[in-house]
Amino acid sequence: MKETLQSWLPRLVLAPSFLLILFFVYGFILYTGYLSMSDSRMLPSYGFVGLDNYEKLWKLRHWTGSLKNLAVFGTLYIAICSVLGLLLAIFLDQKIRIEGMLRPIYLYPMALSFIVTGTAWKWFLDPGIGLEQTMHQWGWESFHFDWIKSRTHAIYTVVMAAVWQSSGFVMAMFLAGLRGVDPDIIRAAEIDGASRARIYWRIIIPMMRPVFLSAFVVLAHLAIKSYDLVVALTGGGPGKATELPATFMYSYTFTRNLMGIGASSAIIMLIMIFSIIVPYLYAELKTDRAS
Amino acid sequence: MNTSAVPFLEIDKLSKSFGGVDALKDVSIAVEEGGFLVLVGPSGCGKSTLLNMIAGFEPASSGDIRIAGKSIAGLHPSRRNIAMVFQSYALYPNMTVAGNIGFGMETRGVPKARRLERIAEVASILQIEPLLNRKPAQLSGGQRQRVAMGRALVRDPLAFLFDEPLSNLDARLRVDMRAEIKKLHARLGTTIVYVTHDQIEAMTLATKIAVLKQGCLQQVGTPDEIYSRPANTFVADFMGSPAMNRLTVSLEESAAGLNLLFGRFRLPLAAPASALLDRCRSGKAVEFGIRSEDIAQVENSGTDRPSLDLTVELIEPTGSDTFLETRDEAVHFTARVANQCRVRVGDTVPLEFDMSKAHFFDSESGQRIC
Amino acid sequence: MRQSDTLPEARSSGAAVVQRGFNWQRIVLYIILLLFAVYYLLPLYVMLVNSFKPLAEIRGGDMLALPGTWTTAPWASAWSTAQIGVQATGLKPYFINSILMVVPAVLISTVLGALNGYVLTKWRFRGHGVVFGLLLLSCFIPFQIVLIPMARMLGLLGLAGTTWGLVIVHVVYGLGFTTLFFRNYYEAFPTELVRAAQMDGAGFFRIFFRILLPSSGPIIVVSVIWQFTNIWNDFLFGASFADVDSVPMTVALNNLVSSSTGVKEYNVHFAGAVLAALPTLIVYVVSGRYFVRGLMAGAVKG
Repeated sequence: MKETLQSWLPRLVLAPSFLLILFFVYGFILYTGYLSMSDSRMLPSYGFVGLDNYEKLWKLRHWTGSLKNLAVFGTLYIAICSVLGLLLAIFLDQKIRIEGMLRPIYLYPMALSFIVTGTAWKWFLDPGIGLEQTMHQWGWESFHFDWIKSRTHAIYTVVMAAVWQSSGFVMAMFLAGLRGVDPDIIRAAEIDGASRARIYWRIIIPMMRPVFLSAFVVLAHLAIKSYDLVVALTGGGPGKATELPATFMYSYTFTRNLMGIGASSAIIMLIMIFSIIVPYLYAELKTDRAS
Repeated sequence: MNTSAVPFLEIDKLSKSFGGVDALKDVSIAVEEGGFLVLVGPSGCGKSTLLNMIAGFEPASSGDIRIAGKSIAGLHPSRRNIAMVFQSYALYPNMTVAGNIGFGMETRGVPKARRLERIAEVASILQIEPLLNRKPAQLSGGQRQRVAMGRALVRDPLAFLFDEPLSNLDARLRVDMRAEIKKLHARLGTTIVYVTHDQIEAMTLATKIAVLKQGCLQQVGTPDEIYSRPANTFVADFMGSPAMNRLTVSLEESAAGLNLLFGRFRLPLAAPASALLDRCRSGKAVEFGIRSEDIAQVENSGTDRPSLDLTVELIEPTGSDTFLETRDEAVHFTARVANQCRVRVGDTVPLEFDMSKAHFFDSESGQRIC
Repeated sequence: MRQSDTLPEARSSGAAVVQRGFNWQRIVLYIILLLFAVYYLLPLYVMLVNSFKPLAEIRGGDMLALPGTWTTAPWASAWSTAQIGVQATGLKPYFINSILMVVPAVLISTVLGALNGYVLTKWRFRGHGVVFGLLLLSCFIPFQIVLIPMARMLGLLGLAGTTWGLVIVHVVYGLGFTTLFFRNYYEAFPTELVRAAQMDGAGFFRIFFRILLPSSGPIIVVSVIWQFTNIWNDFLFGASFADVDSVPMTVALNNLVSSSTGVKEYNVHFAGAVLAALPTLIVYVVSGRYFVRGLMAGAVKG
C-alpha cells in the first residue's frame, strides 16, 4: 500500500500545477478561440458566426495599422537591440577594468516596469519640457525633436524606449556567449595571423549564432506582447500611430465592447508567437535530450 | 567452471530493453557468498544497467534476481538490504560526513546513541574519525571515496555494489584504494558486485569476472580462467595488456602434430587437441592467439620450443619489461622480453613460442576451439 | 545556453586578442563604454533630479540641472496625497496592495515550481516531456489570449477585483518559469544522490527536503527575484482584473501620470515613478547576479 502511494506521489504532486496550466492556459486558449468565432460583444455570447470576426478584423484599418506598426517596431527593436547588444558585449569583453561597474548599469532598465520606463521617456521626449526644451535652454535654439507628437514618427519613440530597456539584457546574453568561446580557438587564429577585427568577424561572431537565435526569439516574443510601454508612453497615439496588436485587443474587447473581434485578434497574436516559439522550444528540447 | 559453493547472489536470465533496444540480453550469473564479482566490459556494454537492476533502480524486462534464494526483483532499493558506492560518490553535500553515514539509519528511525556508535565503528574501520564533522566539499577525492564506502558499510548489507568507484581518482590513489577495497573485502567477507571498465582492476579484485559486450554475457569465470582460457576473441582482446597477438593461420598435418602456416612462416604444434585436428582435416583456417609473455627471446637452444626469426620494428621499455614489436609483412607479434635485452630496431632476432599457451578460435564465430 | 549563471570575468575571449598597454584605441573604447553608461543612467537621473524640484523650476527648462531649491514635497505628495483616479490618497495604499499581492504569489509559485522541477527531473514518468513542454510553452503565450476567460473565471470564483484573484492569476502564469528554473537546476543535480538516499530508505518528500532543498539556495533566490520583479512590474493583469482596493502600484502610477485633470505635476509623477521602481531596483542592486541568471534561464532554456 505504502509502495503504491510512493509511486503515485510524484504524479500527485505535479497534478495541481498541471491541471491549473491545462485549464487556465490551454482551456482558456480554446475558450478564446471559440469566442473569436462567436457573436460576443460586451459579454461572451455563444452564437456561432464562423470566421466573420476574422473577416471583419482584417478589414479594420485600425488592425492592419497596428500590424504595420508592429512590423516597424519589431524589426527595429530586434535589429537595434541585437547590434547594440553585440557591440557592447564585444567592447566589454576587452578586459575592461570597470566592467563590474558598467555591466549592472547597462542592465538595470530590465528590472524596471515598462510603466516607469514609459513615464520617464514620455517626459524626456516631450518637446515642451524634455530634451528639446533643455537644448533650447542650453542655447541650441534650432533644436527640434517632436517625434512623440508626430503621426509618422511616434512609433520610433516606442522603439527608443524599448531599446533602452532591453539592449542591456541582449548585451548580457552575448557576453555570456563570448565568454563561452574557447580561448584556444582565438589563440589559434592569432597564430594564423588574423587581425583582431577579422577574428571577430570571421570566427567569434559566427560562433554567436545560437545567441542571435535566442535573442531573436526572446525579443520577437516581447515585441508581440508589448502593451505596457505603449500605454505609458503614447497611449497608442497620436491618433492610432502607435497602436500595436496588444493594445488593439484590449481596446476592442474592453472599451469598444467588440469581444468577438478582440478574441480573434488575440488568437492571431498567439499564432504569431507560437510560430516563433514552438519550433525554437522543440529544437532546444531535442538537443537537450540528445546531450 | 561451476564452483561447488551454493550461489548467494543469482542473476537469472535477466533482460532489459529500452524502447526496443536491448541493453541486456538473457544474462545469468551466480556468485557464492563472500564472492567478489566484477562486471567488466567497454562502455555501453550493459554493466552499469545490470548493476542498477541489482540495486533496484531499473526494473527488469524479464528474468529474476535472487539473494540467498529469495527474489528481490520488485523490491524498493532500500528494502533489498544492499549498499551501493556510486561513481560520483553521491555524498549529500549539505550534511557532514557523520550525517552522510548516518542518514540511512536516521530514515529507519535508529536511536541517536546507536547511530553514533555505528558511525564511530565504521569511521574507525575506514580511519576517517577526524573527518566526521566535515562537509563533503572539504574532503579530498580519496577521503570522499572512504566516506562513500562508510555509508555503504554502516548498513551491514548482504551485498555491496560498486559502480566504477575508482574512476574519479588519479592513477596513484586508484592503486592505493584498490588495495584497500581488497583488504576490506577480505576483512568483512561480504559479497561484492563491482563494475569497472578497467581490466586490471577486474583482474586484481575479483574472485569472479563477468565480461559483457553489447548486453550479452561473453564469459564468467575466475580471473585466471578469463585470462588463460578466454571464451572468445572479444574476451581475449579485452583482458590483458597489451592485447593478445592474434592472426589467422592455416593448418597442415605433420608427423609430430600440426603446423601453423602464416605469411612465410611455419610454426609446429605438438600434440594438438582433437578439435583442432578436426578443423585441419576439414581444411578450415583458424584464429591463432598467443599472449606477449608467451613469446620469449631464445636464450639457450636447449628448449624444444619452436622459434621464428622476426624483425624488430619498435622497442617499448616499460621499466620492468620490454615489449618488442615485430613485423614481417602482415605478420605482427608483440613479445614481452627481459628488460636488459640488447636488441635494436631493425635487428632480426629469434623468438621462441610457448605453444602450450597457444589459443585457438574459430575464425568466423570467434569462439574458442581450444 | 547552459546554465551559466554569472558572467565570469576572468575569461574574456577578447583577452587574447587585445594588446596590453595604454593606447588611443583603448581610450576610445573606454569613452564609448562610459557614454553608454550615461545613456542608460540618464532617464533615471532625470527622474530623480526632477523629483526634488519645485514644479516651476521644471517648467523653466533644464532637465539635467540639479535642483535650485531642493524640496521633498513631491515625494510626500506622491506617497500620500496625490490624486489617483478619483481619490487623493497618494500611492501608499497601492504600494501596500502590490505587496499583499506579490508576497503570496511569489511564495506559492516558487514552492510549486520547486516541486514540479523535482518531479520532472528525479521522478520521471511516461509523458513527463509533454507535461514540461506544456508548462514551458505557457510562459510565452500573449496574455491577451486569457484575459476574457480569466475575467469570467474570477467572477465565477467570487474573486473578481480582489487581491487573491490577482495572486491566483500571477501564480498560474508564473508557474512555467518557476518550473523551468527548478527543472534546469535539478537536471544538473546528480541523480546518484537521489539514488543513494533511496537506498538509505528516504521517501519522496524526505529526499526533497533533506537532499535537494538544502542545495537549492541559489535557484530559490533566482526564482523569487524573477517572480517578484515580474509580478511587481505587471500592468496588464492589474489593469484588467483589479478593483479599487486591489489596484497594484504600476496601474496606480499610470493613473497618476495620465490623469488629464488639473495641472500636470511632473515632479510628483517622477517621485511616483521612482517609488514604483524602487522595490525592484533595490532587489536588483542587492542581488543583480541572480537577476541576470533568472533572465538568462528565462530567456533561453537552461
